[in-house]
Amino acid sequence: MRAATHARHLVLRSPRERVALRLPLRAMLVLGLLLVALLAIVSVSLATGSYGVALGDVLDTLRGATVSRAIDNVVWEFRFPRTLAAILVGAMMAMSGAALQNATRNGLADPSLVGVSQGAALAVVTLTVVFPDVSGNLRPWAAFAGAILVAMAVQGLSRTKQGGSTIRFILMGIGLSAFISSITSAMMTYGDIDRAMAALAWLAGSINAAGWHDVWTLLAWLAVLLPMLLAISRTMSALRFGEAAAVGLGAPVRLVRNLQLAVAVALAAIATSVVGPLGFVGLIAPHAAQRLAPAGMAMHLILTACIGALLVVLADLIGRAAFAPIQIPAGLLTALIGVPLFVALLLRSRATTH
Amino acid sequence: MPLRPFATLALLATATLAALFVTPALALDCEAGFRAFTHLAGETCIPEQPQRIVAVRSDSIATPLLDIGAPVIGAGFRTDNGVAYMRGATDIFGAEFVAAAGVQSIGDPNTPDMEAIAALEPDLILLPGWQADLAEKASVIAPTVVIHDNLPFLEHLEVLADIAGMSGAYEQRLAGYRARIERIKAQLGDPSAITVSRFDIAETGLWYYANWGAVDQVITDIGFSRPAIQTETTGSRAEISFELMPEFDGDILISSYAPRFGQTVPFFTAQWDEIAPFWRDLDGVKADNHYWYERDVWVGYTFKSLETAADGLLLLTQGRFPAGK
Repeated sequence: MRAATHARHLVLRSPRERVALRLPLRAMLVLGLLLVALLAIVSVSLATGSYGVALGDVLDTLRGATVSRAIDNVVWEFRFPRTLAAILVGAMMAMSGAALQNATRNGLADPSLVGVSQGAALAVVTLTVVFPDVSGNLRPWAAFAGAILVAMAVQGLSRTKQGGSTIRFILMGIGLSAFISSITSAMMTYGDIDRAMAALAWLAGSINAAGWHDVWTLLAWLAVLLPMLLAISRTMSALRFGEAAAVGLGAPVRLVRNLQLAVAVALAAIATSVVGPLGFVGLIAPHAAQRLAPAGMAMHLILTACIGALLVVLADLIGRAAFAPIQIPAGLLTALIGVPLFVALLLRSRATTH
Repeated sequence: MPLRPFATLALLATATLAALFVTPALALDCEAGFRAFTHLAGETCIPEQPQRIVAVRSDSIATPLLDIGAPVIGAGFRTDNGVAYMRGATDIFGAEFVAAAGVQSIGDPNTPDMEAIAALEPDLILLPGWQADLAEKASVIAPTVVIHDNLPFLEHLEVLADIAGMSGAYEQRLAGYRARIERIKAQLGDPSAITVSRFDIAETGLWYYANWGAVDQVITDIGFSRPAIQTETTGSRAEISFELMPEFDGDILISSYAPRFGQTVPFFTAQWDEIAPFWRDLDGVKADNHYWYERDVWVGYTFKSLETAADGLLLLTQGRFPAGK
């Protein structure tokens, strides 16, 4: 493999130059910085919590030594899986947003727009409020089923004889989301107050209960969905110029468009099923990635995933440590962190445009 | 081809399957000082006499345990208006009692801080049924029991006492309560001749919770009559149209308020007069027989709540409704 540096790009070539990878230097630099920041926050997260554990003990525990059974439990059973779940969920929600924004060519598209979050929420609230005796372990499965069903309904309803239409998809998503949200609200209002409170905690997006089972679930799905998304990223890049241009470039537009929508919905549905709806991550992360380092679709997706992971890990750390033992749901904090960030990015973008 | 080995294998497999189906499941083998306890999340070895109990839910689990003297060291605390308090116990026994009992907060009951629970080093953790999904994580810290959410009032207290190894204290308190109820019944003569109606009013209609904590248990145990609409209502909560208000009439009408949330009787009467002024047309109200009770105290899951509600209802009814009214 040879590496050559061109203006603003690093090009990696295989020995016979059958394969070459052109990496934008700025994006690589930003990716490096994001990974360093992520590592730093993960370190702080592992060393911070209601149970006082010295940093040295945390490192010893991570190396496999047993300082005490209690510290083993706190690090391995609570902090580590929770932090990993936050990273994975953040990355998945962010990539879902990026794929949806690309598929719909609408910068405001995110998992909430196509009803994924609302479908999951309705399923969980129904389970919690109407069927309280059903095991809480079924909650992630119910959320997943709800999210997928609503996404399929939006897809199905937005199709016409002429095929799918982006604007129809968005409008159908908004309409169905509003309809589902009203049913959820009615259940919360008229259901038993304690159960409504329990559902509310989940609806706010909490990583509190995430464990190793959730981490493995998220990892398994990410291992399937991420390569799919990266594999179609070149055609997704062509779709940025519109369907007509992409067809002109010889891209299998219909297949890729449907595939990226399906992957986007699946990413959001899996993430939501584990921790509840996390607002704004899917909306903000792609914009932040685009502003920080414009790049090709594959690199854009990776940068977006890193920003999403960073945002959710930070939100979870603040939520569980700032006012401990009170746990502030990560969903509230992603909104608190994300919205000012989003406004700042838009203002910066407007200033640059002008 | 010799068939005997296959026949033997088939026989062995059949015998194994048969043994699996007919052998009863083995009871959990617990170490000394522990016993097997079956609950909503399965069977768990719990301490015979727990010394450090954490109950995620304060009003319906930690508070009744404190009431019978169980060693509760941690519970979910609610925070309202910037003040953290143990819902149930703080209102029924007072903040000083909770502080003296040394109960520590493990965060909000809906999103408990698992690390805070671990830091308390409990030997038993109790979760409500709707938080069964936390059982897996909690059981890493200590044996965890998931309590059924919808048990009848006294059965709920009995189960908690059993888990905490406090059945003796429960039986003693129950006997005291039963004796008090018998005295009240004797003093009233024929309680069934008196109709006690319980309801609240919100902007959207009349609110009536069936089987609502201690006050409901007392009304049943003393044997008061209730309006038909209340005896027919099932489920945890019912929002009822104002048009049905006459059906909530009775000899004694009681409604709740919660000082914890800044609610006062003048506040509620002014609000009711605005949204449903016809509440004053009820015969019970016109006869000045509408009373207010402190919700968290009379509804609480404690013997103290049962006794307070019983004494309160005796005061409201004794000697005021002669036989045949």
